[in-house]
This record gives sequence, structure tokens and C-alpha cells, in this order.
Amino acid sequence: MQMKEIINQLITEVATMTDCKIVLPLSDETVLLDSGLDSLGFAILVARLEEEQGLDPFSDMTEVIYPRTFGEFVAIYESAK
Amino acid sequence: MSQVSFRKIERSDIELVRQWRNSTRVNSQMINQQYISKDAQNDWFNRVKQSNDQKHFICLLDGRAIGVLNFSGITKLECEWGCYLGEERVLPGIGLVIESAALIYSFNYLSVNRLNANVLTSNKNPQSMHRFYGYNQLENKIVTNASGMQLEMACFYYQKEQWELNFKAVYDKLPKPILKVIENTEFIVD
Repeated sequence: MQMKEIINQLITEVATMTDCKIVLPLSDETVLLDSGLDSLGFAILVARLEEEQGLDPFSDMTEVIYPRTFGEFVAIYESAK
Repeated sequence: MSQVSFRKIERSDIELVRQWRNSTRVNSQMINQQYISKDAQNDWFNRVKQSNDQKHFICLLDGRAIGVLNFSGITKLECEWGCYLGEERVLPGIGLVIESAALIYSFNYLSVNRLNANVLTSNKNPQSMHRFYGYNQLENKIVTNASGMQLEMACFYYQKEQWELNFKAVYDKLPKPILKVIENTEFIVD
């Protein structure tokens, strides 16, 4: 499965778990702070991606780049793969 | 690993903070939603510098200013906290780090017994985090802002003894990556 699909699927799961209403559909331009997923949701999403994909770019990067949009978030994980 | 730290706001910060505060995202979640001019911001900073019952911090992510954490109505017994993110390019989950920082600073540095948190009912993210952290919730209240607009506030508080009993259980529920960032958070105090 492509990273974008994996992240999309996980976001849906995490949103249900944390009772968040995601702004659908998520586009590459969707600003993460406006996505509907809250901080707890994002923290869980990052942890799940580490557990299931072995990826933790925010800890592993020498110079950390933080995402502003959904597209940037996906791109960071695609680069980390 | 991402490093979050907090330092006292300085005069050189106030223009950036004013831009953040006037942004739609931040302004719409404040009680007072009037546009803040440069003069008004200057006057506010001059008052804050003289004040013993407020503290305002810049939140830094890897040394870059991203938002504000503030404490107001500080007495020996209690205070209220609030925050906002001015930048959109932030660590996913940063709200949890700020949530922890508010509790740690108020109980460990200010040594108050009670921490209050009031948010607009339209602002869902902080409310869900307050509940996750175990804040007590009071009845909503209606406030009237400087423009005469009535706004509904969700009101929360935390007692120090409760946090001392709860914090381990709360931190055990937090995802490990963000917990590491929380544990490395610094307050740069004089």
C-alpha cells in the first residue's frame, strides 16, 4: 500500500478512537491544524506509524522539517521510508 | 529529537506575537477579538512588564518561536493558563507538550494549588485535551467581551494534589514519542 493510503487509513482509525471529526476529503493542501485531528490524535498517529512502519522521522532526522499540510506530512514519511 | 522550551516574552517578540494574535486562526478563539494595533500591543507589553499577576512565555520548537503560553490571575493559590500556536509548521502533537508544560509550571514553579483553564466552547481541541489530562469541568459560563459580544466558555480546573496522583496514569497513556519530548521540555527562567 502507498504511504498516503496507509496514513489516510490510520488517520480515520485514530480519529474514531479520539472522537475527532476529520475534514474530508483530506487534500495535500489541508493544513494539519485545520484537519480536525487534535494533538492527541496526531501524537497517536505518529506513534502508530513508528510501531507499524518503523518510521519516526521527527526523532530520526538530523535537521527536522515539520509539516504544515497533509501533503507535507505524507512527503516526510515517504522520504523516511 | 524535537526540543520544546519556553522563555519569557521580550520586547523584540511583541510584533511577531501581535501578528499571531491578529491571525484569524488565533483571534477567533480569543475572548477579545478586536484587531490589536502596534500601539495597543506596546501598551499591553508595558503593563505585562509591571505586572506581578501575569507571566507570558514564548514557546520555542528547536529554537524557533511557534506560539505563546501565558498565566494570568496569579495568586498564591491559583492561576489561569492559556496558549496559542502562531505557526502552522509544528511538531504533530505539540498541544500535549504545552498542556503538560502548563501543569508543570503552575504547580512546580508558581506553586499554586489550583490551575484554571477556560476556553471558548467552539474551540474543541483544548477541551478534549483537558479532559484527557483529567481536568475537572465546571458549568459553562457566558462572558461578554470588550465589543459587547457574548461568548460561551467551557471552564476547567486542576487541583495540585489531583495532578500529583494522576500524572503517572496520564503519562502512561501518552504515545512514547511525544512523552519523550514532554520529558525534555525546558522552562528558561531567570
